Amino acid sequence: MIIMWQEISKFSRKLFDKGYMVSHSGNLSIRCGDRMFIKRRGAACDEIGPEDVIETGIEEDTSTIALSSSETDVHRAIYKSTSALAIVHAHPPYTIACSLLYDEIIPMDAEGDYLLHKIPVVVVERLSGSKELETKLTEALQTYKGVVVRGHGTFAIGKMLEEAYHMTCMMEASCNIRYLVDLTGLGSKRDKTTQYRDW
Amino acid sequence: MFGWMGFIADVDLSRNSIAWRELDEDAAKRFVGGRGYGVKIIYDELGKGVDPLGEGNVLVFVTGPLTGSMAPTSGRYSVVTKSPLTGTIFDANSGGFFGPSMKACGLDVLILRGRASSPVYLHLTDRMANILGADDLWGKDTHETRDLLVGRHGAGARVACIGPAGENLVKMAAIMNDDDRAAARGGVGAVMGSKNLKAIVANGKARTSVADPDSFSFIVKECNKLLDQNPVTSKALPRFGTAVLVNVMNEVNVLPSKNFQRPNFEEADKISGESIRKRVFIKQRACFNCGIACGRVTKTPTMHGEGPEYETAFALGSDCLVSDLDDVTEANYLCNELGIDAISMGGTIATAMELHEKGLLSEEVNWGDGEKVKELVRLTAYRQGLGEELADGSKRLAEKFRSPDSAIQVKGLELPAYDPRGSKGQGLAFATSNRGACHLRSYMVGIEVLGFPKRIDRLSAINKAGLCIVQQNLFAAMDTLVLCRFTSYALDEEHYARLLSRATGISYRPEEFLLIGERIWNMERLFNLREGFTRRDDSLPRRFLEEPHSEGSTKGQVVELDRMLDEYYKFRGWDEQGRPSPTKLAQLGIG
Repeated sequence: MIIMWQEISKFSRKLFDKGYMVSHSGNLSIRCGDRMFIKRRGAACDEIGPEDVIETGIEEDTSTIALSSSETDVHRAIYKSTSALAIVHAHPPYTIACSLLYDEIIPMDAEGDYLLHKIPVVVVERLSGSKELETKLTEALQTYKGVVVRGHGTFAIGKMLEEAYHMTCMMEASCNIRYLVDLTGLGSKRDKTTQYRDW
Repeated sequence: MFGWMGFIADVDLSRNSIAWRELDEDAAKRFVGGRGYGVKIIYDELGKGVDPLGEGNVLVFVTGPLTGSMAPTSGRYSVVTKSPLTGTIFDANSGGFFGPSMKACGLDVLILRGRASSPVYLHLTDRMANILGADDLWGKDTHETRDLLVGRHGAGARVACIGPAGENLVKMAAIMNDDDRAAARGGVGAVMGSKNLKAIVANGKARTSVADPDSFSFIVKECNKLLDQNPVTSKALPRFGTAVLVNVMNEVNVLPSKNFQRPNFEEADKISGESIRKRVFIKQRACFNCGIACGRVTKTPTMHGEGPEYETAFALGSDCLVSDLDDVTEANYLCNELGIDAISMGGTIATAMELHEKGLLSEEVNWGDGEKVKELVRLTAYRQGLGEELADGSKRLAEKFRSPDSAIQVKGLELPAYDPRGSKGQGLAFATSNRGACHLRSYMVGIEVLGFPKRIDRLSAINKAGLCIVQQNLFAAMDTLVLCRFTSYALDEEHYARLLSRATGISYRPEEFLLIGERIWNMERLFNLREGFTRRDDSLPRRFLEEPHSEGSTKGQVVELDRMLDEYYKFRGWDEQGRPSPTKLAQLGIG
C-alpha cells in the first residue's frame, strides 16, 4: 500500500506541475490483481498522502466507493476490458482544445505518430461517470493507449503508471504541435491523417 | 401563493374541533416551511416549562414549498414539538410518501393540540379533516395500523402512525409512515401518544404549483445531474445503503463499539453494507421522487422488513457488540414495528450493558447478546420489566443507577454512530446541537472523514467552529424545504436557493437562504435558554473529553471542546454563556 500511494502521489504531482491536472481534478489508479488503488475523490493533486489513495475491487464493489474518485467505475470498466495495469485521467489543455476542434486527432510529429498513431475523440452526453462513457472509452482503449473525451480530458493506459503518464504527455505534446501548425493556417508538409485514420 | 398550499389546519383534540386558517405569508417568507415554520409556531405558542407529554404541548406536522414537487427527494415532512426525551425544542423529519400526500390535502401545516378523551385518528382529504375513533387501532403495531387504515381509506391513502411505544409514552418513540420511514428521534411518537392520537391518514389530490415551471424544471435537471454524478449519491448509497459507512468509519476509528468505549469493531464487516447486500438484501427502496434509493428491503430466515441502516447497524450492533446480522436486522424490524427510534434504543441498551458490566444493574444484559437486545426492544415498547427503565432513555437510566457517565448522550439524546475523538468538529456539532447529540444538525464527519467538499484534518480542534456554524445554518435552511440531507453531498445553498426561488416566485439569494437557517438556529436556542439550558448543556460525555483512545489512528485523542466552544459562541455572535446578543437577534429579526 505504501508503494501504491507513493507511486500515485509521484505521478499526480508530475502531472500537476505540468498543468495537466488542475487543483483537485483528474485521477490515477493502479491495478493489482483483483484490486485497484485509486486517488481519493476531492484530494489535491499535488498533496497526495497515504489517506488519499483508496483500495477497492475491480469486480467486487466495496464501501470505499464512498471515498474513491467519481470515475472509479470508469477505471474498473477499463481494467475489465483491456490489459491495462495503470490508468491516468488528466486534463491537458491542448488535447482538450483539439478534442473540441476535431472528430479525431492525427499527430503530425514523428514521436506522436510513432507512439500514438491517432488520438480517438470520444463524444458522450454526460462527461463524467456514465455508462455511455464507460462503453465508448473502453472500446477506444482496446485499440489505442491514449484517448480524449471531448471537452473533458484524457484517459491513458499502460502496464505501469509511468507508461500511462508517458502516453498522456505524448498526447499533449502532439496536440500542442497540431494546434500550433493549424494556427498558422499554412498546413503541414507532413500529414499522416490518411495513413493513421484506420489504424 | 406558489409552492405553498397556503393553509393551516389547527386541530384541538381536547375540544374535538378543527379550524382552518390561512398561512401567515410573512412567516412563510422568513421561515419557509418544515422545521422553520414549525419552530416558529412552537416558540410562539409554548410558554416556559410546558410538560412535553401534557395537554399543553403542541405537535406540528409541516411540509415545505418544494414538497410534492419535482425537486429531488421532495417527499419529506417535519414534525416539531417539545421533546419529552430532551426537554428541548425538537424537530424530526421523515421520507416516504406521507409528506406529499399530506400537502395534497391542501395544507402546509397541521397543528395538533390538547388531548383526545379516547384514542382517535385524523383523516385528511381535500381541505377536509375528520377526527375518527381509533379504539380498534390502539395496541396495534405500525404495520398493522397502516394496513388497516389503507384498507379502510383506499390504496391511495398514506399513513403516519405510532406503535405501542408511542401509546406507552416511551420517550424514544417514533412516528412511522409508509413502509418503515420514521420521524424517529426525540420521542415525537410519545407526544402523539400523549394526545391519544394513533394515526394521521392523508389522501388528497391537490398538486404543488410552482411559480416558474420552465426555470424550475431546468434547476431540477441540473440538481439531478449533480446527484447522478456524485459517487455517494449515485453509487455508494444506492449499492450499499447508508451502511456503506460501517467499514469506512471502522477503518478510521470513528465507528463506536461497546458503548463508545472502543473506536472500532473487530467484527464490523459482518454488519457492513457489503454483508447486508450479500446476506439479507432483497431490493432497494426509494422515497418520493428520489433517485438515490438508499432504503434496503431485507429478510432474515424468520422475518422480513427494512434495514438495517448505518445508524441501526451501529446502535443495535457494534455499540452492543452484536455481530450477528440477523439479530441486528430483526432488532431493527422490531423498532420499526413497535415505533421506536433505533439509535436511542441501541444507545440505551448499550448503557444497560455497561451498567451490568460494572455490577450496578443486576439483570443479565451482556455484551454481544443479540437475543437480549431484541427482547429489550419489545419490553421497552410495552414498558415491561427492565423495559420500564429503558423507556426513559439512557440519561435517566444511568442517573438512576448512579453512573451518569455511562449514558452517551448530549442534552438527553443518545449519540449517533460517530466517535468524536476521531472527528473533532463532529464533537463540537454534537455539543452545540439544539436537539441534543445529532449528526443531522451538522455533519462535520462529511468534511473531516468523507471529504465533502474537501477533507480537512479530522483530529484538529482548530478552525472547526466556522465550518460547523455554516453547516448548522445550511442544514436548518434545508429543513425548511424538507429535502433529504443526502442531497447536500452534491448540492449547496445556491441550488437550494434557486429551487426555492423558482418554486415560490420569491427571490432568495444563497446568503439569504443561509440567513433563514441562522434565524431558525437562534430561535431554537432562545427556546432552549428559556427552558433553562445553559453553556453546561453544550457539552459531551466525559468519555470523549478525558478518556483517550488507546489504539489506532486516533490513539491519544480526546475532544478539546472548551476551546472550540469559545470560538463557536464568538462566531455565532453569542456571549460567553451562549446567549445570542441583542445585535444578532435584531439582525435576524427575532427575539
